[in-house]
Amino acid sequence: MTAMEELVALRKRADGVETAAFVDHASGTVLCASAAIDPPQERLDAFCAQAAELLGSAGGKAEMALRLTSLETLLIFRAPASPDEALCLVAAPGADVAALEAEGRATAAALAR
Amino acid sequence: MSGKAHLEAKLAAVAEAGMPGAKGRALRGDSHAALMAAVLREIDTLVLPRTLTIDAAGGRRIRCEVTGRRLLRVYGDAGGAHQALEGRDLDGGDPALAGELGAYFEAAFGEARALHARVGPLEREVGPADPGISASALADAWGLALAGPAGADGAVIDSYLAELGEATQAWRLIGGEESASAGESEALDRLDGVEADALLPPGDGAAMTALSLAEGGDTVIAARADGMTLLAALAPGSAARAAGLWRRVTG
Repeated sequence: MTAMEELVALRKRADGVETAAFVDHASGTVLCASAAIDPPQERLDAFCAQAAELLGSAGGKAEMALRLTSLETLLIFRAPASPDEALCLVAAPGADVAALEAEGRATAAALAR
Repeated sequence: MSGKAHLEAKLAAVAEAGMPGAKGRALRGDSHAALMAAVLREIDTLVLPRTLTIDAAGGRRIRCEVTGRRLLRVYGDAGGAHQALEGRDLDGGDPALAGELGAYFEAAFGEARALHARVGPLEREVGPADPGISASALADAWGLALAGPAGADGAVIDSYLAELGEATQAWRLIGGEESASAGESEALDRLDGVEADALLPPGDGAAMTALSLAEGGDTVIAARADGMTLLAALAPGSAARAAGLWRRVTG
């Protein structure tokens, strides 16, 4: 599957994912994205910034970041074979985090192959 | 040492090693109040009869007998006017007790900003005749959020830390200019390399961020609510559970 097909398949499998984006956070580039409603470019750019900030914290040792706010659930997975690339998922505030984590890890691994 | 005594010593060592905090935990605070909040948190985690031995640099030590999250008796080095408290059965019904205990701890640890706490067995029977005084009653009397620095409304964060329970290897609470921390020394050192504000979104709204680290799989979380921020090191693979608990305490 292409990267775009992986993101679309993930959104079909994982209930509630509003946006899935595959980014190169080192260069600030959104490689591809799939969303229920196309997000503005600023939002996509923000994924790169958030991935760089969160995965770069704790000495750059983070492989996954999860953030809960009153507005959304955000998960960011570092691509195992390509540390500068990451998968970003945005879901509703009450989304099933454990299910999203499992889906996200599997997709991040597939994207980096 | 006889064979029986040797065996008993071995069994005691094994039993003690199995207790939470048996190896000792570091407690740190930017002020005496913050440090006392960390001490009360330690007492609040002890449900079974235990001895909590607290040491400061320079050799100052207080030994606390604790059960049911209540302080039963204290022994230590406060000395002077506070000797009347030593070994006395503490009773939360005594309106002067919280103040006396506050002065007792200040006499021993007033200048300290770091303590070492170790949990051991309690070598006597305790029961209804040992009323004690609860950690929460002392926190109320001393004007502390149970786990947090003085002056912060830590209800949400305090509940969250309690829910995380034994998954927590170390924690740091930040409220305004003050912070208090406790935990295994190595885990506390790992937290020193993490900036809580860098993990949380801008603003002061309630939020929680969890990081799964590649090395060892440890989980680091930062959570913010009501002006207090929690930074904690958790057992590996705890991110999803930490998220579920955060939703529970924030409704």
